Amino acid sequence: MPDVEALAREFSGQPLLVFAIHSGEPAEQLEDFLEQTGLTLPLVRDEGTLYQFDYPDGTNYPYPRDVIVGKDGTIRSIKNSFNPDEARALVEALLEE
Amino acid sequence: MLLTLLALAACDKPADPAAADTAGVDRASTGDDTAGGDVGGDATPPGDVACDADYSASLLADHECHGGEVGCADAGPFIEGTCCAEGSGLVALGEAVGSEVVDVETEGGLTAACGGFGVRVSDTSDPENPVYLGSASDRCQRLDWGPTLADGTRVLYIAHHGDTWVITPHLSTLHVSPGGVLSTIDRIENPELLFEGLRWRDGRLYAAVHADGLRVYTTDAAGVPTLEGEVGGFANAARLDIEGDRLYATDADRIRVFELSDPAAPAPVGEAATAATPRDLDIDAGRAFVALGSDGVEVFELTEGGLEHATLLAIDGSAQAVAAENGLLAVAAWNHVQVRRADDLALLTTRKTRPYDEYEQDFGVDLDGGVLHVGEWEGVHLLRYREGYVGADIWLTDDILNFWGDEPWSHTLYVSNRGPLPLCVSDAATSDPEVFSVSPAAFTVAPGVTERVSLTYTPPADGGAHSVSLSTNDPDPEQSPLVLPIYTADGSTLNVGDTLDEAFAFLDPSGEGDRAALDDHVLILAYFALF
Repeated sequence: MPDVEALAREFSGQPLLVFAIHSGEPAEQLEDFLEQTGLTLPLVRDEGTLYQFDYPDGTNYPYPRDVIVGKDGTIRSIKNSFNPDEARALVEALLEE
Repeated sequence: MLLTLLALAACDKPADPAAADTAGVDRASTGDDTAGGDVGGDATPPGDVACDADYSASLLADHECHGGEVGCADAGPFIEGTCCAEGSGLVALGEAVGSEVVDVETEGGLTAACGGFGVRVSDTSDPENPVYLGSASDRCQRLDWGPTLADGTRVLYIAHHGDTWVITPHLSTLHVSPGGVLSTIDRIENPELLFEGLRWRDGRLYAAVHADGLRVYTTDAAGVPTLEGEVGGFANAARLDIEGDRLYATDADRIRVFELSDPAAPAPVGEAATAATPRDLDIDAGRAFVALGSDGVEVFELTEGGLEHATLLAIDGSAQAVAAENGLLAVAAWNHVQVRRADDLALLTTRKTRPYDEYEQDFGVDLDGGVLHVGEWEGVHLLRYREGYVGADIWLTDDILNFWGDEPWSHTLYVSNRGPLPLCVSDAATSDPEVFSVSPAAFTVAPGVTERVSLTYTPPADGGAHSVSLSTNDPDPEQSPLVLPIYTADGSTLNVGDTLDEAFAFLDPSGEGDRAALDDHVLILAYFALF
């Protein structure tokens, strides 16, 4: 998550929306999590969308899952691990489209 | 769409062998992973195995439920004609606090658990009523207890080798006051030193530091470490233990042994290759027990020249941590915990710390006076081993089933019995009998035998989450009924190239629920969970 946060900061001011989406974690634990990580991304409670995404090849566990979507609403990447360099390159390309 | 609702079929009706529908059960070779011959036997046709007391007694005729110093009177009620009592060999006493637990150490009535949200310390002197004392926020992966200071303050060392959450590796010294207050009094940070396993002994702290080998610290009156010596030559020093005047350290593919006559300068005396990369080691009673993940547990005899390979034992699950004490060996095997007899590694009992349909991760274990302190991702489970208690012990190779639900599908479940008593499956049922069928619905599994059970699916399913449950006489309460989750995808899942639909309107930053508000923006949806 810190890598996601860093990417959001890097592209601040550009048409990039980054959401940290949880599936209904208790508020107390979320507060601990924010305190520990210093996370400033918008925290959003999922409304059942996580399980709409296909499982990436070779995985059978839903978390973590990072989805990158283009400006036209088309899904461009679904990953179970976040590679900052890969994500940065894709976001740069999508912002230029 | 994939849903996560599980329908739990509660089936606790006792077995009725006479009514058992055993047609269709096939037999497979034994899944027995035990050594020492406590369980075993040829595959027995269903129907020939009776779930009754006489049969149990006959199986236990040569079973040493109680031996040596423990008398028959210490257990009960007994299975007639034996010195064994039927029941779980591991009983849950209590649960201490932990969060994302990856290592646990208990000493002198205090239990510390390292994890993603720092170290959590509990008073476990009464294991049935653990008392949470507090936490320190430093994320940690390894730990060891240090000295007890004159005022009763306990010193605790924690380490983290660094990752995306902890940018700089650290070795920190904590004080736990007699009143249970935690405070960090020293912190060594160095981006080049990837701190791993720790052992404190007689005024010195030994730290494994990956490719940088070992570092020896002398500790002052407050327990604060000062570097005293270094030992190189490692590829990946990770875990440590000390017995007598010798230190044992895991490397990438071996155990290295050092002599500590000069404790500031460990001198190499020998080494032995391991069958796989060691995850953990524990030295006890002249032997080294090494956890090797999915490769099992390897045992070495300690010798004058170092150590010699004795046994490599394949186990169910994945050996993440080991702890040996007073003739017992505890193994944190990822999705369950095992207790074995230390001398011949015979499997004595197993237990899950979480229900079968939940995702269990047992990464750490310690033994203290017959009480197991099992570090599971979400907490520390305190379990007491009860000698002489025996039972059936179910094992499935699957812990989740996942397939496309728009086509017919069939699967074979391999149901093994690791215990010394017959496993009586009184009811095998699915949450959605209109689309799933399981055959046979009732059967028995002799000790040491694996049976095949057919699971068949005929589309279409209503919803994406289902389950198959097996009601058995396994005394582990987390395994009876054993509920195996089944997820089916209906073929309409979103993949790369698909477009987000109205279901994503909740992401509208204005809170108006307008999906169009996301248009013309690049989106990163980072789904996460706090386990």
